[in-house]
Order: sequence, then C-alpha cells, then structure tokens
Amino acid sequence: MSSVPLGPLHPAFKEPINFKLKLEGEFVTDAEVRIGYTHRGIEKLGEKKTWIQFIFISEKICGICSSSHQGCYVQGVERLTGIVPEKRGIYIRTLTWELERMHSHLLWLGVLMHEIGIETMFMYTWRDRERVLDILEKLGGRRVAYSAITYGGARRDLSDSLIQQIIRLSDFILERSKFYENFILNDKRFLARTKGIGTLAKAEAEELSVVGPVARASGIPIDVRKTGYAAYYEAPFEVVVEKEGDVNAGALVRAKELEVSANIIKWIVKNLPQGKINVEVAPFSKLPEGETISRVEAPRGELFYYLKSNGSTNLERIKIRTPTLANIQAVAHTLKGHYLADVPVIAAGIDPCMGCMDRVVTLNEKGKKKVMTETELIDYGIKWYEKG
Amino acid sequence: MNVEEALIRNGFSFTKDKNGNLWLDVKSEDVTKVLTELKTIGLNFLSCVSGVDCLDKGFCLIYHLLSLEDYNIVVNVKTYIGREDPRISSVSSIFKVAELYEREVFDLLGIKFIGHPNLKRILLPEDVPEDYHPLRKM
Repeated sequence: MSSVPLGPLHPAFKEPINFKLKLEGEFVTDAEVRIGYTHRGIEKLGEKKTWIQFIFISEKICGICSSSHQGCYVQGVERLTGIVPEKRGIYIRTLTWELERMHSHLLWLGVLMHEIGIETMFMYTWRDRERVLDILEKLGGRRVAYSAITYGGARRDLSDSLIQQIIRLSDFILERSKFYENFILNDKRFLARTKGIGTLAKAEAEELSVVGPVARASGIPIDVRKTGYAAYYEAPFEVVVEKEGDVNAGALVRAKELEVSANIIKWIVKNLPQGKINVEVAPFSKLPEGETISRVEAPRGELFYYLKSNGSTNLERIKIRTPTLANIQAVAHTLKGHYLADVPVIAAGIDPCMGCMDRVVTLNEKGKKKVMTETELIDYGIKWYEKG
Repeated sequence: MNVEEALIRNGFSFTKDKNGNLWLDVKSEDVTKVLTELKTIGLNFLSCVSGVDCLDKGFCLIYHLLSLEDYNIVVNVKTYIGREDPRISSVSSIFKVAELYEREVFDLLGIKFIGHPNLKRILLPEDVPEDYHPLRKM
C-alpha cells in the first residue's frame, strides 16, 4: 500500500489539480481530489463591478467556454430586467455557442489523443480547431475571449462573406467528424487504451449528478439545449447518447456532437432573421430587484448561474456552478480499480477545465493585514518598483 | 413527469416565476426532510447549492433541484439561517454531489454542515485563517 500525490503540477495535467492516490501495487484503491489552484475571486469581483462591466469579466472565467459563461450571465440579466432580446442577435449568439462547442470538442479530442500518446491525431484535431478559431476571430475580434455576446443579443453582425466561410467550415467539420468517429471506433491502439477504461455506469452517473457529455456517454439523455433557450427552441437537433460510459463512449459522443453542431450552424445561417442585433442600454442603469437562475449547455455540460439583484447597479450575488465541478467527483470515483497509467486518460475523459472550476474571490483582509484602496495599491506598486 | 403536479400532489406550496421555475421556502430544520421527499417524488438531480449573505436576514441557502426526466424546470428550495454560528444539516447523504457544493459554501461563507464527511476548505488554501470567509459582508 502506497500513497502517491499526482499534481498540482504534473505533465499529465494541462491545468493545476491534485489527486491523492492510494495504490495497491499498480492499482488505484482510493482517490481524493484537491482543487482551488487557479482560484481568482471572480464571484467577489462581481459584487464590486457594475452589471455591464461584469459582462466582460464573465467571459474571462474560462478560456475555452468563454462565450457560454458570457451568454449564461447575459441571459440571466435579461431575465431580471424582463427584456426580450433581438431575434437576429439571439441567432448570432447561438451560432457563437455552437462554434465554441466545435472548437472545445476538437481541443478535447486532441488532449485525449495526446494523453494516450497518439500525437498525429493530436496534430490533426488541433489543425482543424485552428480553422474554427479563425472564424471565431472574424466573428468577435479575438481568438479566445471573443465578446460576441452582449445585452439583448450579439455585439457584432455577420457579413455575407463570413456566412459563406461559416458554411464552408461546417461542411469541413461534417467531413472530419466522420473521420474521427471512424478512428474512435476502429483504431486498435485507441480502443486498447479507452475501451472499458473509466466506466461510469448509468446508476452511478445518476447518483453522482454528472452533467453534459459525461452523462450522455453513460446513457442519460440530458441536454440543456433541449429546454429551448435562445435559438434552440427552433433549431432541429438530436441529443447524442451512448450506453457504455467509458472514455471511448465519451469520445464518440463528442465526435458525434461535432456533427450536430455543424448541422445547427448550417441551419442558423440559413434561417438568420433580419433586423437589429442588440438593445441599447444606459451605462449606469440599475437592475430591478429580484433573483433568477440561468442555465446553458456549455461544451462540458450544464452551466448554472444564480443571480440576485438588490435594485442597484451591481448584482448582490453571482453564483456560478461550472460543469467540471459537477463532474470531478465522478473522476475520483471511476479511478478506483484502474492502473496508475490510466489515471491521465480517465482524468482527461471528463474534459476538465480547472479555470472554470476554481474561479471566485479577491481577499478583503481582516485582522493583521491592511486593506488597501486602488490608488494606495497603485502608489505602493510604483514605490516598490522605484526602490528595486 | 410533471413536476408541478407532483409537487401539488405531495402537498408542497410554491411560487412560480415568469421563466417557469419553482421556488419553495422551507425552514432550515426541515431541509433534509424536504429534500428526501423531493428526491422520492422524482427530483433526483441536485444542480447547485447557492449561498448568499443577506445581511440582517442572515444567510440564505438555495438548493437547485432538477428531475432527469423533465430537465426544463428547476425547483429552488430556499432557506434562511441565522448569523450567529450558522449551522445546517448536510444533504450529502441524499445527494452525493452535495459534498463538493457544501464544501464550497463552507469555504466562502462559513456555514457549517453537520454530518458532512469531509468539511474543509476547497477553493482557498488551507492556511487561510479559520474565521475568514471571503463572501461574508459583515
């Protein structure tokens, strides 16, 4: 019996997380997760900033599903104010979400292949992902935090040439997703490392309240998109469900979802309504008192926001529950009984995003330490640099 | 399943907001009992536990529940706890995922969950002073 710490800094993990593993020979008998290494205090920051400023902070929560966070937050604010967003804006918003899902799934497929050691596939997926990122850059202005979403709709309109490029991209992804599916189902090396590894049975998945592709790979047909927010109440699509619940099923779900996303995108650009794209709002307008919840299907699963307003320009509470936090317990659970060498594959199997999971809190010190105002802190910083 | 009908049949009173989500107010002593009952009628998915510092009203805890069969409607169970030594019984025996969510609430707001198997800080480092909880407002 031995105890092995894995992480927070470990070549197998792309972001900091710590597993305390108990081993019996080569087998893991118990696992404990320690998170919080990228904790930044965003929920506390949300109390200090006005609700319009937080639109741009919300997308910094996660570098991969940035517009899901932004969209979920904006959707919640819209529910508080009771405004009906512009239809064209809503369609562009949905388009951004689906492009983001494609880039996130491709990124994840690449990371999984990299963990297994199939570097060629890693290069292929990331090459394809680059094309999605190019479109997102044209849509929002930046590759990662594209700020494509704003109050009442979207921030930038689509041009005709961009629509043509998006259609070409969708066709390309449709073709590539077939290739990935084929690879996932037939490649011997990939099957040897993923089939029967990290299996989460349906009953266990229900008990652990997992969300998103992890739940769908275990045979639970849940998808927030089916509740019909934004343009999803019109867009036709099927929820992809697999039964096995292992890493292979997870990969298959995501590869098939690439296809679903590409089809939704094609439907959206074909049915794009004309009109305004967003609603103008005064910079320091107050929110009405109240509380609400907002949910969207981020690439990793159900993203949950709880917003509470006390009638001022700032929100009183922004509670964020990210999909990785809901899924991370499933990793600790499924690790038991597997080889130590399978740990990175299983951990990567839920598509973990530590930046999302940790978020929250700037320190407002009590007791010994002094609280500094912004100007005091700037002065302190200038003096510190002049000294050294 | 129809969540609203199931709740009415089991004698729960609730309010419905304009987005179709349901809000229940319960006393803090009854949370475990109510959540057990809700789980047996089909609300078998705990989506989130939110903690809010409501100043004079004390701390507010909200349990967001869903049914896997009807993924549309969120049932929000809301309860208030007094400011002095805030305590509430843990629901981690009913929903396993609550273990993590309750640790987060404990870490940021300092609400103690009685019967929690592993109640320690989750997001902040372990060497942060014991009485320090960043989301408290006073």
